[in-house]
Formats: sequence, C-alpha cells, structure tokens
Amino acid sequence: MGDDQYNYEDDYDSMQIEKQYSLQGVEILDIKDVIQEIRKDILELQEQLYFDEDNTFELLMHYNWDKEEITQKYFTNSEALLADLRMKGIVNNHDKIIFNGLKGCCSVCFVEGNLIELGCTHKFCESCIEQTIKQRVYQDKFLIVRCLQNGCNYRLPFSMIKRYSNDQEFENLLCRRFVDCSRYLAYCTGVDCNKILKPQYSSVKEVTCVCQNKFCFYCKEDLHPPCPCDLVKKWLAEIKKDEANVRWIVVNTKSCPFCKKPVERSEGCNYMMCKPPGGCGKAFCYICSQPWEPDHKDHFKCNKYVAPTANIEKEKEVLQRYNFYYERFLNSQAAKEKAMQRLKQIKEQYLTSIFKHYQFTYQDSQFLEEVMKELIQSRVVLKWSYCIGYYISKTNQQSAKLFDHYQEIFEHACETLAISLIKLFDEIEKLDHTQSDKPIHEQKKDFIEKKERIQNASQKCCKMRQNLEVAIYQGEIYM
Amino acid sequence: MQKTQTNRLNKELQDFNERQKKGEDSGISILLVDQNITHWKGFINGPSDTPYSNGYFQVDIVIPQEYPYKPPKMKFDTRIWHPNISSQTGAICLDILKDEWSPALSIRTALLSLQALLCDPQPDSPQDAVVANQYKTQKDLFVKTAKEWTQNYASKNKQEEKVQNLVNLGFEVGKVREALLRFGYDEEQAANFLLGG
Repeated sequence: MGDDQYNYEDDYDSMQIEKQYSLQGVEILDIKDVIQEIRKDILELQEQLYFDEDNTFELLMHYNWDKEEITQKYFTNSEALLADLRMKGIVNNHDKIIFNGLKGCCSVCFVEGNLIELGCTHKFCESCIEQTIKQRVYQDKFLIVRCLQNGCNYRLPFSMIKRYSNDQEFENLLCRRFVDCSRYLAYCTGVDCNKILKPQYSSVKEVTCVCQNKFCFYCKEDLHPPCPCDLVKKWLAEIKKDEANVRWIVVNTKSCPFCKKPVERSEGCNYMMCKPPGGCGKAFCYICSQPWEPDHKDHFKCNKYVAPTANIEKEKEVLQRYNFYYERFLNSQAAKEKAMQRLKQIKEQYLTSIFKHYQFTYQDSQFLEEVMKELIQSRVVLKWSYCIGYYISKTNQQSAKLFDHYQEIFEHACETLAISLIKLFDEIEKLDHTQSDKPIHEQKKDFIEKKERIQNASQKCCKMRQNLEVAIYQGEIYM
Repeated sequence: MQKTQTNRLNKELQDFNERQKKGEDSGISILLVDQNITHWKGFINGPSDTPYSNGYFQVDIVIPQEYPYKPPKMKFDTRIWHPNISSQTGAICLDILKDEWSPALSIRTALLSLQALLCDPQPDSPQDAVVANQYKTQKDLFVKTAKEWTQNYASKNKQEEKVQNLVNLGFEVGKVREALLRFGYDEEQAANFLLGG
C-alpha cells in the first residue's frame, strides 16, 4: 500500500489524456480517477493530523469525507475528539497487530494453526479473517469490518480489508461511497452506464453523460424543468405512495369522519374505533361513516340512510384533483416518449425520403430535427408543469392565475406544433408509396411552405415555454 | 470451506450436547432435520414471568454455505404474538441475525438471544407493526393475546390435544407429529397437508 502512494503522479498524467469531456463542460471520470482523489484526500489529511493511513481512512469514512469538518473538530479539541473516536472504535491502535509466530485454536473454525492477533488482542486464523472480510465486502457491501468477536468494537484496518477482498470490488464500493458523499461528483443515472460525472462549475444543474443520458445533477432524477428539485421529490414520492397504496386503501378502508385518517376493518362489527396513537380515538359506524354516538345502538346493524356529506365530497375532490394532474403528467410523459421515437425515425428514415423525392439536402431538411428537439423539450416542461400545478400555492390568487394562463397558451402552442408535425410525417411516409399528380416543383414549394409554418409554430412554442419557465424561475409564480 | 463448516458445526453440536448433559442451558434444545447438518430445529421454552411461559416454541434453523461468516437463517415455526416476530410468517427481527452477526456467535448463542428477546421485546424495531403498536398502546391486551396464542399454539397440553385430534381422524401418529411440527402446530394446515400427501 505504502508504495502505491508515491507513484500515483505518474499514473495521473496518462489518465489525463484518456479523460473524455462531454459537450457541456462535464468531466467524465473513471473509477481510477476517483481512487486517485481518495488517495490524495487521505494523504493530505494524514499529513495534517499525523495519523496513520488506516485511521485516516476510517476518519474520512466516518465523517462522509468532509475534510473541513474533521480538521475543524480536530483543531478545536483534538483530545476530546480522539477519546470519542477511540470509544466508538473508529480510531484504533493497529500497530499492535501480530501477524506471525502465534499458534493456537481459532475460536471461530476450531482448527489448530497459525493465528493473527488483532489490535484488540482477539486472535483468529487468517482464513477466518479473510472469509469474514469477503462476506462483508462482497455480499453485504460494507467497507467496515469489525473484529470477529461478538461485541468487540475494533475495526479491522482498511489495508487489511483491501488485502483480503478483491481489489476491484473494494474499489467499486469505496468509489461509490466517495461519490455519494461528494457534492461535486455523481454517477450517471443511465442504465448500466456507471460513469462518474464532474461538472466544471458547481452551478451546473443539467448534465449529459457520454451515453447521452441527461439528468439533474442536484437530485439525480431525470431532467425536470421548470420544476424545482424539492417539488419533484415530493411529487415522485406521492406517485410512489399512490401506486402502492391508493388502490388498497380505497378497497379496504374507510376514512375516519373525525380525523380523515384511513381506518381498516379486518373483521368484526360496525363499531369502529379510530385507534390512537395513529388515530384520534373517536368511534364511528363503518357502514354510514357517522359518529357512533348517539344514534347507534346495535353493533351489527345500521339502517341509517345518509346523504353524502360535505366531507366525503371533499375527499373525493382531493382524489380527483390528484388524478387530474397525475393523468396529465403521464400523458405528457407518453407524448415525450413518442416524440423521441419520431426523432429516431427522422434520422433513420424521413431525411432519406425527403432527399430521394425532393432532392433537398441535409441543410434544407435539418430543421425537422431541431423542431423535434423543441417539441421534446416542451413535452418535458409541460409534464413537470402539472407537478407545479398540483402544488401551486392557492393562497396567492395572482400567481395561480398567471400560472394557469401561461400553461394554457403554452400547452396550446405545443399541441399545435405536434399536430402540424404529425401531418407532415404522414405525408413523408406516403412519399415512397404514392405518386402525386402535382408537378415536382409545386410539391417542393408546398414542402417549403410547410417547413416555414412548422418553424413558426416551433418558435411560438419555444417562446411560450420560455415565458412559463421565466415566470417560475423569477418567482412570479409561487409554490 | 465445506470441510471447515462441517468441523465447526460438529463442534457446536458436541458443545450443545455436553451442556445439555451438565444441565446448563435450561430452556433450549435442538434437533437435526433428517440428519442434515445444515438444517436444524431449535426449541425454546417460554421464559417464566412472561406471556410465553409454559410455551414450547419451535424455531427453524437453516445454515447457509457461508456460515459462520454469515448468520444462520432462523424463523419461528410455532406461531407467536411478539413485536419482533411476524405473527404471519414467523420471521424474526433481531440485529445479531442480520448486520450485527459475528462469526464468534453460534446457533446456541443465537437461540439464547431469541429466548432473551421473548423476555424483552423491542417494540421500536418491530417485525410485526400491528403487534408492536398494541404492545406500546394497549399492554394489557397485548399480554392477553400473547398468552392466548401461547396457549393455543405453544402449550404441550394443547399440542398433545392436537395430535390426538388428528390421530382420531385416522392418521398415523408419527406422521401427525411430523406434520404438526412442520406447520408450527397449526392443526388446519397440518390436516390439509396430511390429506394432500
């Protein structure tokens, strides 16, 4: 391990050459690059605190790689910090480890042979230590391995863990842990991509990986303009909760008429108690959802007809409102997927057809791709605008009205663009099969006209989209 | 690997038997299933002064290939009303059977920990939310239910009664015992099994 520290500078240069940069100022890192950073961090802190490498590593792991926090705590009161870390088993005396010369019966496998004495003085055979480390690292995906003795806080030094586990697996885990802790790095969210991205500026929010996957660097979700990350998180949680639970809740529960919490009747009579601590402790009738007192006497009968109350109506409204936005959110998502397919078709099929029939070059027909990209972008913004619509503050009438207005005209512009594109695609698809009566120069003229119309529609859509985005970013619309 | 595991398990069995002879470890015992060293049944006597006293609880123990570096898989065969044990499946929530396992622990110490868990439920890390909730908010009702379940599923008398019931239906006594053990003394499931097989 010690030797590795000194030659990393050599490796570093060759690494620089291989480094790939994507278009938007995002650096793509390899695991090796990250491991270098980790080594650098360890070395730096080690020199600052006069710690050995193993304990420095544990310290960084414990404080989620926050070097400032560690040094600040250390220089405020180093003795108190050390005492605390020793007690928790984070800082250990690894010098005492004895590798050779001890013989005896291992208390784990009961086999006689060579033993290793750990810094805590517990002794085990090499094989048991190795198996334990492998199990923890490979199977359980832990980087911290405690002494094999039950209840012993001592942590095996990280150099030992590294030696007995497979290097690659160890580095993978270490790298993941480091990236997860870092504010400047993130794993690409693309399927099976595993690239590590590092934007050049901390203000970069939307990143694109070399695999073409785009995501939000802050919340690691798909891009979600113009919605802020916290709303996205709330909304996605709502959807998840909803999918798993709403159906079950609707079928199996009733809402307590007092506190509105869903109450489940597993079996038994109609007397329902909304049980504390989750519930409010009041009783109602399961059949008519009315307070039990004073009308109900029989636990199994309820003949009382109840007109739907304001409460039930209100709950329905809440659900309907959610469904309204969720449905539109899903529709926009589906429309975006379709637009992506179309973009693929444009590249693979339509451009060739256009060239074949009208002899238009790539420069004349390239607008299709640009317009399609605008439509895709607009679909994404439209999709997330429904999330905003769901959470928008109802107290500020002005902002809600403004939002409705911007969203409505934007949606209209977006649909207009989509419809005119579909019409054009239909015509392009027909080109290969049917002959037109019109002379070719008129056909060409028609196409140019359509092109201009579509470009206008696209510009309008783009403008409406930006209006909505700007209003949100500048705080005219409140959430 | 396999050899060291067999060696260790044999040592554990030997240790268990020696302690049983000396009369240590009152309240826990074990049995191999089909002479298979990696599948055991553990038995725990419900500790006195708990709702589980006079109960005789059976625990299924499967030993994974990676044992002792990985914990044994344990679950209750006998149905039990306890915040850290699923009332439906018998799954157990106990730290040493998960992340806190240490290779120096053994089946014996794990069973002792389970016995301790019966004395001292941990409702804040529940396996069964319903039971845990009841434990916290309606202790009396919890104790009552746990006692009833112990009576119904875990008492020796009741278990013998169930054996007799099924024998009376015309099944062979050995098979009845086997089936009841298999289903944690759930008479209905055992009867269905006997009818089906």
